[in-house]
Amino acid sequence: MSKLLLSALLGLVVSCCLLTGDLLGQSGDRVYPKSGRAKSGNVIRMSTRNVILDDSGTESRFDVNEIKQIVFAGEPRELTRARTSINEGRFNNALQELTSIDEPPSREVIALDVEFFKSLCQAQLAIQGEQGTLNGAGATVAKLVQTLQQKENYHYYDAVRLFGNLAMASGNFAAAEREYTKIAEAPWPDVELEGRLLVAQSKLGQKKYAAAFEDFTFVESSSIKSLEAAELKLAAKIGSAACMGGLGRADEGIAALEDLLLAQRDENGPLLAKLYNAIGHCHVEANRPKDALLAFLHVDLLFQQDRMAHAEALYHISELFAQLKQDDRARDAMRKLQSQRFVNCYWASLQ
Amino acid sequence: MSVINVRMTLMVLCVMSVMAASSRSLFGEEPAKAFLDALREQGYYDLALEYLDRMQTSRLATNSFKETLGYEKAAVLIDSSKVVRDEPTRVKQLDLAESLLTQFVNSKRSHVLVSSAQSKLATLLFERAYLNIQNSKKPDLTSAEQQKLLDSARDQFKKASETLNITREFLKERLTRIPVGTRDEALRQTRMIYESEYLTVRLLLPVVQEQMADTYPANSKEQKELLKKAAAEYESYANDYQARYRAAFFRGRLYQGRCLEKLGELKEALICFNDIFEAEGDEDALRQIKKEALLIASKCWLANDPKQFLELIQVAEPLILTLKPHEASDPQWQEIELLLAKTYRDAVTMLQSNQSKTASDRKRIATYNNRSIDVARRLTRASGPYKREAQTLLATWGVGQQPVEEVAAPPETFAEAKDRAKKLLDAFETSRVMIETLNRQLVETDVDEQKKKILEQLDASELIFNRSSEEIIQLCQLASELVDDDTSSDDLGIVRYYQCYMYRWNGDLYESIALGEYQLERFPNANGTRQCADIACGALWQLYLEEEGSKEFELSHLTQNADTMLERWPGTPEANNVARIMNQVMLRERNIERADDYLKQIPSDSPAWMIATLDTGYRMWSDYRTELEQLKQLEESGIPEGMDLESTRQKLAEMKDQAMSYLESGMKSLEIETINRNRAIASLSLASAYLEDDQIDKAILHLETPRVGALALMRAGHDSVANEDIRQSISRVALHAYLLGLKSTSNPKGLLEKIDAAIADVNSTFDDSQEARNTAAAIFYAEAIGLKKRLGETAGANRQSMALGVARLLEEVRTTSNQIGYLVGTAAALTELGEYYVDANMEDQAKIFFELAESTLLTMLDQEANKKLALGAPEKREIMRRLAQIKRNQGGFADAIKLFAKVLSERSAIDVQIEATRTYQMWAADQNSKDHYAKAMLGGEPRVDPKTRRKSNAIWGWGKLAQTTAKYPDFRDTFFLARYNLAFCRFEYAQLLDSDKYREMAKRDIASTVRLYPDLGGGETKLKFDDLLKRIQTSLKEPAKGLASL
Repeated sequence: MSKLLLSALLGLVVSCCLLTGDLLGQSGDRVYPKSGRAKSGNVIRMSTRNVILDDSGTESRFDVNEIKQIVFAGEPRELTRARTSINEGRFNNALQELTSIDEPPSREVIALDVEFFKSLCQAQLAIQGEQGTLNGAGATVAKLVQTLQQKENYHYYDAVRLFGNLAMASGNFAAAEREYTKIAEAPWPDVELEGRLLVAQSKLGQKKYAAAFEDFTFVESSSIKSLEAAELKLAAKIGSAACMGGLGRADEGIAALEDLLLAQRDENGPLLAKLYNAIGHCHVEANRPKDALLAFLHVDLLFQQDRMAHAEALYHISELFAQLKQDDRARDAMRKLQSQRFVNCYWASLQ
Repeated sequence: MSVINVRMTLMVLCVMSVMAASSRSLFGEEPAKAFLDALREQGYYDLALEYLDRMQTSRLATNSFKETLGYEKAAVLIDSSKVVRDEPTRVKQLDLAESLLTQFVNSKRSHVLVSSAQSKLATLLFERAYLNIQNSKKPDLTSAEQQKLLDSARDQFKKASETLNITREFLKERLTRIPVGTRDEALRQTRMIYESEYLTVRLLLPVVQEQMADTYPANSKEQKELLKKAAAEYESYANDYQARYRAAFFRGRLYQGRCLEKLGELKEALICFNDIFEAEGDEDALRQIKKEALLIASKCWLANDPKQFLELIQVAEPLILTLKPHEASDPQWQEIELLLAKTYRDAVTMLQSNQSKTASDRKRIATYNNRSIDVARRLTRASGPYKREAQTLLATWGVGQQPVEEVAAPPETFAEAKDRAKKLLDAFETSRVMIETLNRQLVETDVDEQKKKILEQLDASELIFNRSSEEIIQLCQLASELVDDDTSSDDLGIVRYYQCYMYRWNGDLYESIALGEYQLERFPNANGTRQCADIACGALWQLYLEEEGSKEFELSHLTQNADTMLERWPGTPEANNVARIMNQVMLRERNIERADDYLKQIPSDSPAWMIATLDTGYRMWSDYRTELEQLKQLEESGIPEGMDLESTRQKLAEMKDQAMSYLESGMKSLEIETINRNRAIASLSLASAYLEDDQIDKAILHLETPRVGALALMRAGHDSVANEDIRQSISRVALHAYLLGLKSTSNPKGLLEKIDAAIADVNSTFDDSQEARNTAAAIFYAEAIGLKKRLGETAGANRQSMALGVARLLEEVRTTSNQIGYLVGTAAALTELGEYYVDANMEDQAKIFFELAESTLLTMLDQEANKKLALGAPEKREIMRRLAQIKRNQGGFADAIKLFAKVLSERSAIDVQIEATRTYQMWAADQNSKDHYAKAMLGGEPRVDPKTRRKSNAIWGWGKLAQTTAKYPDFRDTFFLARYNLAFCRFEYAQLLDSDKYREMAKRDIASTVRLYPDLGGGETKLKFDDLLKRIQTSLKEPAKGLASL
């Protein structure tokens, strides 16, 4: 989930080297589409769905889902450097850059960009448990969503997604479902597909297995063909198999997940963690605690890269050991879950 | 030889084999091997086994992994067995592992893991054999049991040897397939691995032989042959690799020398070691081998006559002088340092004894003296197992404490203050040991001059001791003030540790607690924190024990500190110690459950575990005894309504089992050095528990366990059992155990000797006063009566042994007590024993007991006559009655009747009347006398009643006895007895006269009794009447229908 979000967010920024080179000789705004060459001009209008760029009288329209990045004329250098840091996942540095901007930006759109990226950094740091709280970041992002909607800003959908992610991370799956539904209702098929996947995952969090299964199946059967869509479909397959556990079809779900496991050809720790967690989930639903434990232990012992997936596995490990009357081991797992690594983590808060 | 080294070598071998086999991808399949290894690493052995079971049928596992399931399962079982405390379970696991590995080796001969499996199998067999050897040394085993274990060990060594031979052949064959100079990198690597494995296996083969030698008695032919064989193989190994692998050559020579030393071939052993000592080089591996060689070689030099001190110095000195920093803390190097220090002194003595000393000798004397001090002092400054011995050595040599440099200026930096505090702390410690040693010497010496010298040294040491104590704290405080940005929390932690230690030493407990807890809370990861926390907990424990009133402060602080320490540093000596303290605290708070929780946090191989286990077991046992007593009282006074008796008993049984289990576990690793009063009592409790469980042999073995058994401790005069009450308890439990042992012993003579010794032990716990002797006699009397009651539980020789046991005890009572009750009781018991021998047709023995009983009673009467004993009328009557009984039993019926008549003329009593009447009957039977049968029926010994002036029989006879008791329901049994015997005597009388008239009368006696009481008292009494009637009917030539005919 977080990887998808990050890639979507990072789609908005370009690499530092390219940007710096361009900015040196730049006089106007510059829009970087996801595919094709960047265009310069003046952003003369924008809405939550598109941006209009005027280049010496010629208007170009960009749908928001197609925009990789907009660099505004006269934006502070700190904002530029912050984008670079975000691109590299260094949210702390980015936040430092953004908070050090003293002078108010000359244009409102730049000010909103600064606010958006600041909120993005704060939310990411809270989700990663590095700084701040989920509630604090959530309050900021909620306000930002309203502002961006009012101001018809092109970051609106990104902010909605961010808010949904914060809700998911804090275990407020119903709120996440509400936000993600907005994404699923976006007018672009690829965004809709991503939205449906997110909605399905938030429903799975609420144990609405049948509804979640329907959404996952929708994503799986989509005719969109792209690398991003393939990744979404794989996530949907894992999700739908996990739902089967909750729908009394645990063995079917496990078989599907094992097929996926056998089909993996690369070392993708986070993906494998999700697969084993889903297998564990199916065994839990089928009341096979030892099998479930073995599945979750794969994540704890071999595939710990994804913090959320690791926390989820540890939570179940602790519960299952307790169920098997192995209190010392249950306590050990709980202790791990309460370590610094899992600060602000929903699964840790369940202990 | 250390099994650890062998195990490590084998582990290396296995790892290398696995490395060769495990080049595989994690993806596109279940990462089975990686996951399995991770589970094992976590200690999740149960889950690892579950996982392997699942992998057998999982479609995720590759076929190649499935092929290794047996091998992997065996590996998990072996690992798991190392943490299993229950020995039967461990043995079961190892059995299964052995079987799986054997199966794997046999069925997968070409598998790449086969050599690794073989090595594992050999290691497993080797370890099991080693374990059996260790177990065979347990003192509570019989020689047959020890031999059985040694036989098993031998078989296992043989199997290990066979397995290693197979592995060697396998590797040899593999090596022939790869050309020596191959340019193929992969093949070259594989060849290297195989060569390394081959090298190891070759070395292990003689190691097994050498270890197997331990399964034979020392110096036996078999042991020597095995050692010779091993030595020869080591030599061949060394020679084969001398040119190619230097380390292998030295290792081979080292082990060859070790075998030769065991064989007593010291000269040859030293030749092997010299090859090592002469080797040039300073690399760690070579120094390690030199160290091991030196430790064995020193035994050879010092076993020679004259002892070769100079040779030892010549080799050890250069090694010790070039000791590397990481070696300085190695206990084996420290052992060599200590040895060297002592040897310097021995060499000095040797050189001094030389009448014609050369200048060189004199120079060497001075040098060796100085060097011995230098080396010993260095040891006192290092931490390690030989520190105290080095301190004692210095004190014994009369070497004063090295003066601490007088530094006028106070330290200016933290580092200076810390260094000075450390130096002073070393001086403090050394002077402390010196004071102890010198005080001991002072007591032991009678020579004034020596005393004076010792006193001077004592003054000097005390000065340093007292001064250091104050200065260390000041320096630590100053160091804390001098902390700057460069000061690490580790250095500060060390300073606080010194300070904490000194506070505790000075008795400033609260200061040490405050500082220790502060360090724990604020700098949990710094050096010295663990020790600080340990000291704080020790101080809290001291307060807990010493302070009166509420223990809330100590309890809450101890609990918090302990929980932190156990979480942070589980398994460390400090964590183990605090867990032990908490275990004690909880036991005192009577919270057994939490005490048990803390106990479980102590590793079972730590000394603290044994202590805590014993203490917990003892507390549980005490609670069990208390609750058992309460239950007995309730049972006597009436069980309260609603109380579930069955579940209470069940709970008690569980408590007992648990207590015994703890006591047994704790006792297994009890060492003489750790025994104190509580542990001795715990040990005794276990013996009592065995006795209560009727495990007599176990109780005896446990009590007699050499060195640590309660009885062994008592007889060795160990301090732990110096208290008289404990000694008395031990000797009483031992006496009780031996007496019960008589019931099933195959060596009654030996046991009776032990009983005599135990009686002497009990007596030794009392003084010579009559009061104390009476108390001891009461103990013996109670044991005698208890044992006498159990005579019926066995038969034959054991029954006679028990009777002899009773007799020994009664003899003790007879000759020591002046308590009338016990003496009369003793006479009665001796009489009963005599009767027992009569029944056993052992008249001679019976006579002895009757005479002893008689002598006891007559002595009492004599003493009464001499006014040494005050007997009341009832007591005198009782003595007379007993005497009469004895006379009767000895065939003196007339005397017995006179005595009975005398007693009865003073006061008639039913029980005496019965005995007197029975005497007439026995007399009649003995002599076929109708007159005595008549007296048995009608009574005898007429007397004139002084009150009524009427003549009546002093002895009533069965007729009057029946008549008198007929109206008292409480005497119904006596009535039936009298009626039966009346009919019996009448019938015997009739038989002697051959008179049907009396036979008919006898029949009527029975018939009239039946009319009054148709059931005739039921049971056996009725059967007796029935039998008698049938006899009468037969003699009357009537159908023998018995009571049915009436």
